Parts: sequence; structure tokens; C-alpha cells
Amino acid sequence: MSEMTPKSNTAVLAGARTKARKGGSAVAGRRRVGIGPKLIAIAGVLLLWQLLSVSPLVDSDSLPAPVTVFAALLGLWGTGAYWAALGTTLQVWAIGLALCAVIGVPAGLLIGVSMRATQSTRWVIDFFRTIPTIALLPLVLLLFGATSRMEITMIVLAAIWPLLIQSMYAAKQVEPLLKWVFRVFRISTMDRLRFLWAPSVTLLVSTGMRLAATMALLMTIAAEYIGGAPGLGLELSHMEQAFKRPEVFAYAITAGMIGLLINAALVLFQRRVLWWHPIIRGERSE
Amino acid sequence: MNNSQTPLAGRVPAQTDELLVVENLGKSYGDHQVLGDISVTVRSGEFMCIVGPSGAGKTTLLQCLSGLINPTSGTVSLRGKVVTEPPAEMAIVFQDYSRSLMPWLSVLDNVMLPLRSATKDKAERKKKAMEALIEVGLKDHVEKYPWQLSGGMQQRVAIARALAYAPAIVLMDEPFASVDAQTRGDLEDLTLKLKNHLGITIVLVTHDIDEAVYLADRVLVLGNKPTQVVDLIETHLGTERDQISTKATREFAQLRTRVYQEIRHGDIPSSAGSVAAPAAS
Ligand SMILES: Nc1ncnc2c1ncn2[C@@H]1O[C@H](COP(=O)(O)OP(=O)(O)OP(=O)(O)O)[C@@H](O)[C@H]1O
Ligand SMILES: [Mg+2]
Repeated sequence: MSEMTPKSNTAVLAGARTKARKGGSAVAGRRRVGIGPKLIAIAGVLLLWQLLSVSPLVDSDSLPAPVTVFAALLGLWGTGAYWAALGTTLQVWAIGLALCAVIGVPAGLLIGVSMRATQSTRWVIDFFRTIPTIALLPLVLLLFGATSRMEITMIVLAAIWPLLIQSMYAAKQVEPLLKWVFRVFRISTMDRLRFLWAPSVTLLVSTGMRLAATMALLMTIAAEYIGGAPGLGLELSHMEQAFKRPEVFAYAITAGMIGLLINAALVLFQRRVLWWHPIIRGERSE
Repeated sequence: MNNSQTPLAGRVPAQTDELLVVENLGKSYGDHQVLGDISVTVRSGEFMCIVGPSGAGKTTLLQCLSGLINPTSGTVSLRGKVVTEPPAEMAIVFQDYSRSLMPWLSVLDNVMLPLRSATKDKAERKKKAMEALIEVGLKDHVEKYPWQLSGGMQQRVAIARALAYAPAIVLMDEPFASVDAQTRGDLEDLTLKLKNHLGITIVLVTHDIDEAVYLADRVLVLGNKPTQVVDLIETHLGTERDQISTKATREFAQLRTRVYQEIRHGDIPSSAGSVAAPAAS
């Protein structure tokens, strides 16, 4: 037990990962897979892709071999257009996601706190989140043209729902007994937000962020691809029209890698901040 | 129902006798009346245990006493002031220690948190929290997190948190129900020691009759439907109690028999009227 004792409160967060690993390693090891198997899985997919592209099943123009695609990717890395497109896409994505968070998290928490608000908004939310947002693209395009405003509108329409809904659930699962503890000890509203609400809702809200981040990225690229706003999606579409298949795949892979990195960053955030959480500790799953 | 037997000499300060006064308290959930008409006075500095059959409304009563829920009728007042929200002089130890502590705060921070509004100086807060943690014997575990401690230790953290808050009265709802027998005995003795050291008033709900008699200066027995006060028994077991010798006394046996019969029959048995003789020790 003694090696688990943090030296000071400030060291807690820094030492969190190792501590959580040590603490729950027996169980966590079963759930968390190391980097090795992940690399093997990637190699397997690449191999399958290579075999498929050289097989007579598909013609090599429509499915270029991975080697060709990575050569194209390397080639794109040397161009300014690639980096400009990447920068634009990431910027629009970040603004859109931030807007989702600024609207979705407080709204979700407020709705979630009130049973009434939850029940009265249920149909509206279920309705809007089921609408395939992409169907609204022509309308939004008509309103804003092929601009980043159009993209951001599309992102918010698509990605706000998981955040809203996760935040609603987050507000509901704050431990009722702890709410009483805070009342009994007459803890101030500010401290209540800081020491009860913030830690209690972080897991579900950040999970909502993960879902929203992926959806926002998909929508950004789709809006560029279909709606013609500048960014990775538009470049991809240009390459397609120029019949540059390897470049098309290179852009698609770029999008996949961004998604991977974003998710990894958010998971890292969760493990850093929520190391104390039973689910993150892996001691019991709820 | 007020007991007119003389309090133990020197135990109860004369001028502040009545601390918490419950008058004609009733509580219903919809059509279901849980508490009938309860009147009882908790004296300053006493240890009162509340016993009664399961579902009698002991938890409900405690929640009304603390102002966490509002009674349907009647009033609770602390030092003459009607209780509508948990008063500043009151702390509570809940049964479910694993849910009543914050897993994201260290033991020390859990104990320090309630002191934030009253004590602005952090060093001062830490000093108070440490004193309470030393009192409950957790000096070496203050930097740990609640989930790294055993159940008994977690409940001691909850007790330390209540103590550091420096309340006049502590309410406890079956605080030792989820720990093993050995730990339970230790926690009972700890609670007795703290009460005697610090002069706080304690109201403790339990469904363990032995525990109630062992700890209490007075045992409040609840029963009937809707719940009424069946009896209020002065134990006269003295300040110094011991898990083995106190429980072996004839007085202890008579008291527990009496409480047991009252809970079982929901009434004072005719033969039990004169049983509680003052303790010899
Ligand atoms: N929030 C509530 N809503 C409706 N009924 C309730 C509520 N809380 C308690 N009750 C009912 O009130 C009665 C008394 O419950 P309470 O928990 O106070 O009993 P108790 O004496 O503490 O029992 P136990 O010894 O089992 O803890 C029970 O019949 C219970 O079903
Ligand atoms: Mg109860």
C-alpha cells in the first residue's frame, strides 16, 4: 500500500497513471492491450489490403496498393496544398467542436439536473439526433454557401447530440448521497461545483467529447467533400476528379490518422484526470 | 414520554439541557404514513440511540432531524431554532461510507473540504483536519484515497470529517452496519471515547439492540404503525464502558431484554417497568 501513497497533492495528477496502473494492474492488464498487438492488427490490415490490390478480384486502378498510397502520401507531404488543407480542416473542426461543447455541455447538464426538463425535451432531442444531418446540407449550403460558417453549422447540427445526451446522463448520475453530504456540511455553491459536480460529470462529458470529436471530423470532411468548402475533403474531391486514386486514399488515410490522434489524446486526458475513477482504475465495471 | 429519572451526577450541564427538541413529528410519503406523532428531547452532551424494527422509519426520523427532508407535521428545533436545512452545528455520518466519501479527494482533503467556508486559512484547516484524523487513528493514512482503505477505515474518515467540522451534535445512521464484528466493536469504543473527550451530543440509529444499550445514555425505542415512541430508557451504565465486562453485567442483560421485548411487541411489557436499575460500577 505504501508505494501507492502520493507525496503531495500536486504530485497526484502527475503520478496518476503509474499509480492507477499499479493499483489495478491485475484487472486492468486483462482489459488494456499493449502496443504490440495493436501494431500486429495494423500490419494484418495492410497485408490484406496489399493482397487484395494485387489479386485479380479488384483492378489495381480502383484499389491502389498500400505502398503506392504511402508513396503518394509522402509526395503530398511535400506540397503546401496538403498542409494548408489539413490546417483549414483542423481549424474548422476545432471551432465547430468548441461550439458544440459550449452549447451542448451546459445545456445537457441543465436539462439533466431537472427531471421535468429531461422528460419534456426527450422527443425533441430524439427527433433531431435521428435526422441524418447530411440531408440538411443543401439547405445549409443555400444559406451560407461553401464557407466555414456552413461547415461549422453542419458540425454543430451533427455532433452536438452525443455531447448533449452524455451531459444529461452525467448530471443524473451525480451520487445523491454526496449531494446530501455537501448539504449537511453547508458547502458553498462554488465549492459544490468544483469539488462535486466537476469531478462527477467529467467521465461522461469527456466520453461525449470523444463521440462528438469523431462525428465533427466526419462532418467537416463531408461538408468539404460535398459542399465544396476548402479543406481535406475538397482536396480529396479534386484528386478524385483528376483520377489520382493513390492521392484520394492518402487523403482518406490522413483523415483516419487525425481521428486516431484525437481519440488517443482524449483517452489520455481521461486517464490523467480520472485516474481515481473505478472504471478508469479498472477495479469494477459499471 | 419525557423521562423523569435523574441524570447521572455531573454528566449533563444544567443550563443547556435541551439541545434538539422534536415536537409531534409526523412524516408521510403520499398516503403512506411512516412517522405518527413523535416527541422527544435530546439533551446536550448525551448519547441517544434509536432502535426499532426495520421499516419503522428510523432513517426517515434522522433525515427529519437533520433538515434533509421536511416533516409532514410537527417541528424539529435545535437550540430553539426550527430546523429546515442542516444546521451549522450538526454533522452526519452516513451508513454507506463508500458512497459518502469523495473518491477524487485524498483522506485529508475529504476531511478538510467541509471546513472551507468557515476556516479561510488553509494551514488552520489542515491542522483541524489532522487533529480529527489523529483522534480516529488515521494519522498514517491521510494522503491515501478512500478506495485504498478498508471499510472500517473509511468509516473512520467519515467520523473524522464530522469531528473536524466541530459540531454540537452528530447524527449517525447505522454507521457500523457494514463492517465486521471486530471492527464494529472498535468503532463503537472509538465513538464512545470521542463523545466523552469532546462532549458532543450523538444521536445514533441502529437495529442492533446490544449496540444501542452499550453506547447509549438513553435508548429511544420506536414501534407501532404509524411509528410512535414506545419507550425512552435511561441506561445508567456509566461513562466507562467495556465491550466484555459491561456486556456481562446484569443491568446490561436486563436492558437488552427489555428493549428486545419492546421491539418485538411494539409496547412496553408489563413486567419490564422496573428492570432498569442503576449500574453498580
Ligand atoms: N423516499 C421515500 N419515498 C417513499 N417511501 C419511503 C421513502 N423513504 C422511506 N420510505 C418508506 O418509509 C418507511 C420507513 O423507511 P426507513 O428507511 O425510514 O426505515 P428504517 O427504520 O430506517 O428501516 P431500516 O431499519 O431497514 O433501515 C419504509 O416503509 C419505506 O418504504
Ligand atoms: Mg434505515
